[in-house]
Order: sequence, then structure tokens, then C-alpha cells
Amino acid sequence: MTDIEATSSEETGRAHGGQDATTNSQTPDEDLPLVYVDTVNPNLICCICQSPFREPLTTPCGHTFCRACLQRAITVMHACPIDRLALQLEDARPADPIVRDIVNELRVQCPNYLSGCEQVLLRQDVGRHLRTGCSLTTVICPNDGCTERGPAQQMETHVKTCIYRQIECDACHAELRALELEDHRHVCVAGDSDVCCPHCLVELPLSGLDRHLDECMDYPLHCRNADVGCDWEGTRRGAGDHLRGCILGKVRMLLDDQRRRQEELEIENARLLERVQQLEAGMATMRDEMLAMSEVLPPPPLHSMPPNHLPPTAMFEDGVSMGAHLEEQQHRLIDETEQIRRDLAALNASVTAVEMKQNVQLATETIRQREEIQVLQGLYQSLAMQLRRITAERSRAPPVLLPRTAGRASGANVPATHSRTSGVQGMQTCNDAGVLMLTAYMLLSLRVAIHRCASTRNEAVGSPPLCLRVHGICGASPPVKLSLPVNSTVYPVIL
Amino acid sequence: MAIPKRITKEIGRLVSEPVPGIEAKSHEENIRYFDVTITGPVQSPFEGGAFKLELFLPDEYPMAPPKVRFLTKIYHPNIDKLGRICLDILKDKWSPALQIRTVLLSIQALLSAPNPDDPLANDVAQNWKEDEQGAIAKGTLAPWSASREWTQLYASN
Repeated sequence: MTDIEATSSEETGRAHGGQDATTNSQTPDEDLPLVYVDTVNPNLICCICQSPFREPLTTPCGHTFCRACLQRAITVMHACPIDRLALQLEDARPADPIVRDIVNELRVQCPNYLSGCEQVLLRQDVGRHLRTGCSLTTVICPNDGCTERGPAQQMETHVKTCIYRQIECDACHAELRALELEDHRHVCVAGDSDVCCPHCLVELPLSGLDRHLDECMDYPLHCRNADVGCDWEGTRRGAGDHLRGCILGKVRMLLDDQRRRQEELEIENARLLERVQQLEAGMATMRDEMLAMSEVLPPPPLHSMPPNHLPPTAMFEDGVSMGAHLEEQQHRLIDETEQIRRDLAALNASVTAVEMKQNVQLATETIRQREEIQVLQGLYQSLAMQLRRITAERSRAPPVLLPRTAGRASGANVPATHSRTSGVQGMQTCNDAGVLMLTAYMLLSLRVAIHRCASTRNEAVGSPPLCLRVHGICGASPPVKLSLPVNSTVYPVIL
Repeated sequence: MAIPKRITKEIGRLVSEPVPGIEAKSHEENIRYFDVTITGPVQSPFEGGAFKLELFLPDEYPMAPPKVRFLTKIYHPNIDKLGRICLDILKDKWSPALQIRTVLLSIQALLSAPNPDDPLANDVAQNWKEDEQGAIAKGTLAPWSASREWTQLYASN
């Protein structure tokens, strides 16, 4: 029983150590992103970190905390965080094994779940999983000096090619890093002694091998005329003799010369071929043109054709006269086109001039008419205002129609309160009626003037915006009726 | 600095299981800073009031207590005019086993049961004691006139 407990607690310890080492040694244990798969019994939650216990310790007063949490709490206050009884860390004992086992066997997700490891495992196995099982654990390259870090599965291949990996010099068997090997080769003492030339079997220092190979008489060579067909093979020693007797070496100059000439001829041939193709294409287009022309034009008189206008191919019986006629026709056409173009330009210029003149005239006329309309509008508005004022005054002064005492000039009744002044008011009303009449007449005439003005302008310019502006005055607005008390007759004035 | 898991857990629980009469919202830009509203406990002179507080979790939290202060003016023997609270668990009696939730519950309890024997605002405590004694003498349950008045003035909507 004791054995089992010991193993279990050891396992826990290792698991936590492993987690720290493989993720980030600075991360405190409690900050490891452990996600518990199942809902954890609240009795297993440490009241300090609010997470399931880790390495739980139980105090003499019977309270359980994570080891790390209690350690930190004790440094602040030497008392139990729950009941404040005096407490030293040494007084706390590891929690009951059953508690430790329960929390160690809680199911958690692999800490690399964000990177894609979907494994769910017992909490006590997390450390082992991260060390050996999880290929997504971020690990640091174990080679001294290398700062490469990455998932374990990628690190395996990196380690094999890491320039900081330890290797051994072939010659002196010295331990060195891969990046130092190149420099080491130049200075390796052991490497400079026992090298044997593979061809002549002479022993010489490694540093001199390259130079020796350039001179070694047993070095295997091919004949230098191998490119023209010599299949001789031998050592450098025999090469001199062979070259002196090599037949291909003797005819080599001749062969080279011939080859050069052949290349030149090939180039020229290609050039000529290109030229021929160009000429053929030109002839074909000319033939097409001539065919088209012959369809359009009538055959020209034979006698007008000078003999030197002979076309390159005489396709038709009257080909001679055809060519000359075509040329003449073309000239005439070109001349005519020129003439037409010149006429068109002159016409364009005169049209533009006329247009401009008209525009200027139109603009002047528009401005003048607009001003006129504005003046008329102003006049109209002031008159309308005057009319309104008078109407208002009249409606305030009670008798719209004069009382019986003032004669029969008007027909309205006077309220009793104003009977005293009714005579004077009657006179005023008479005068007002005259003024009203006058104003109404003037308004009418003004309206007509504006209307006329607008209509002439519309005729002249045909510009809708101005027409719309006049519109409000000259008719479309709702008619306003004014009752005029002249001889008891009501004249409607429509504004 | 990374936010300890405990703080995120506490915030989550404050949202999922809120305490009646207490509302605590952490700021989006600083998760350690909370706007708190405590409603005045019934049968206390603070009844009907909504008291605003600010709560801040220092970096050492939970090894150090949160810093809490009343923002609403309150007439209370253990709260001074700057809103500072005289409460042992916010000072030497802090324990890492306590939480935001328990701290706010303690403050709510302090509103229900002021302690004029351990005053922070001496004049208020004096006034309070006299008022309470007067009330006890009169046998009424409605003492603490100033507290009620202030609640009406400053903590009512």
C-alpha cells in the first residue's frame, strides 16, 4: 500500500516538473492552461486559486489548499486563510491520498488543445504526454547555442540538420559543431598526414592533394579530340604519345573549318528563306488588291497606257491599261478627298462663328429679360404687400360696407360699438376702396406685363427654369379672392 | 501582466450567479477595475438607495485585498467623506480565501449593521450613537435621520 502511494506521489511530482520544463519554465504551475473536461466537485476546488487542488496540503485545522497557493498565502499571513488560526507551512501535511488521487485523475484536455491536439487524458499523465506523446508541444532545440523552437514533430527533423549539432572530424575525430567543420578542415593537424593519392598511391598531406591531382601522371583522362569522335582513354602519362599519333587531331583543323562554314551557310539560308516569305506575302496582298480593283473599275482605254507601268504579274488580258488607269483614278480620288476635307473645315469654322454669335446674343437678351422680370416682381410684391396692408386695415376698421347714415356707397353693417365714428370711417372706406381698385388694376396690369415678358422670353430662349419662376405669379397658384365694396358689387381679383 | 485564472473565474461567476442587491461589472479595457452598485439593505436607513462603489484588484490579488471605495456620498460611521471604508477584511484581516463576492457582501452587511464603536468618521459615529440611543430610548425603529436624508439626497434615482 505504501509503495503504491509513494509511486503515485512521485508520478505527480514528475508530471508537474515535466510540464514546466516542456512548456515554459517561468509559467507558474497554476497558470498552465489546463481545461477540465468534466465539472469538478466544488469540494475539490482550492479557495485561493479557484481551481482543482494541485499537490494538495491539509492544515491541522482541516483545510486543504494547493501547495503553491498555501506557500504564497503563508508568506503574507502566518495563518490559515479560512479560519485565521496560526499556521506555519511545516504544519501542513499532504492531503489524504484519496483526495490527491481524485484530483490527479481528473480528465483534462492536452494543454496544446489550441494548437490542435485533441487528446483528453488524466491530469497526472499530462506531463508524460507533453514530454513524449504530444507532437505539438513547443520544444527548444537541445543543441547548445541554437535558439530554434517549435513543435516536437518539426524539431526532430531540425535537430538532424541543425548547424549547432555535435559532429566528429573524420580525420582527427575531434568533437565539434557542424558550423565549425569547414574552418576545422583547414587547420586539422591529423587530416594533413595520411592521405594516399587514389591513382598513383603516393602518400601526401591532405592539403596538397588538390594540387597533386592536377599533375598526377596516373590521373585518368580522355582524348581531347573526344568531341570529334576519338574514343581513346588512358592516363596522363600516355596522353602525350596518343596526341602525337591521333589521326583525328590531324584532321581536326579541317573539320573545325568545315563546321564553321556549314554554320555560316545555315544562317544565310535562314535569312534568305525569311526574305522569300516576305516577298511572297507582299505579292499575295498586291494580287488581292488588283482583283478588288478590277471588279470595281471598268476596263480603261488601251491606248493611254505607257508601257513602263507594267504590273509585276499580268493576270488579266488588259493588265497594262488596268494598272495605269488605277493609278490615275487613285490620284483623282485623293485630290477630290482633299478638296472635300478643305470645304468641310471651312464650313465647320463658319458654323462655329455663327453659333458663338448667337450664343452671345442669347445671353445678353436673357440677362436683360431676367432683370426686367426681377424689377417687375419687386414691384408686384410691394404692391401686393400694400394691398394686403390696406385689406388688413379695412378688416380691422369695422365697416366693410358703410352704414345706412353714410349713404348707399356700400352695404355692410357697422357694429354698434363703432357707431359714433362711423361717418368719418365711411369716408375713409370710400377712399380706401378707390385705392384698392387702383392697386388691383395695377396688379393686374403688372401681372399681364410679367406674363408677357416671360412668354416672350420663353419663346426666345425656351428656358424652363425662368418659366417656372414666373409660373407662381401668373396663374398656377391658388386664386385669392378679394371682395371689393364698390357700389355693393364684388369684383373678384384673382392673384 | 497576464490575468490570473482566478480573476476570470470570479468575473464569470459574478455574471452567471449575481448576488441579490449587488451588481459588479468589470471594465473592458481594464478587467481588474469594477463598477459596483449596492442597493441599500431593507430596514436600514439606506433602504431605497443605490450606492456606487469602485473596486480595484491589485496585481498581488488574491494575496492582497481589493481596494474598494464608495463613490456615492453616504452618512455612515464606518465610511468617511472620501468614501473610504473601515472594514477589517479590506485591511489586516484579508485572506486569500475571500473573493470579490464575499467582500461586497461584507460591505452590504456593514450598511445593515454599522459599527459606531470602530468609527472612521468620528462626528458621524457620535451623531449615530446619540441618534441610536435616542431611538432606543424612544422605542422606535426609525432612527438615523441624517443617513436617511443623505440616502434620499445622493443615492436615490
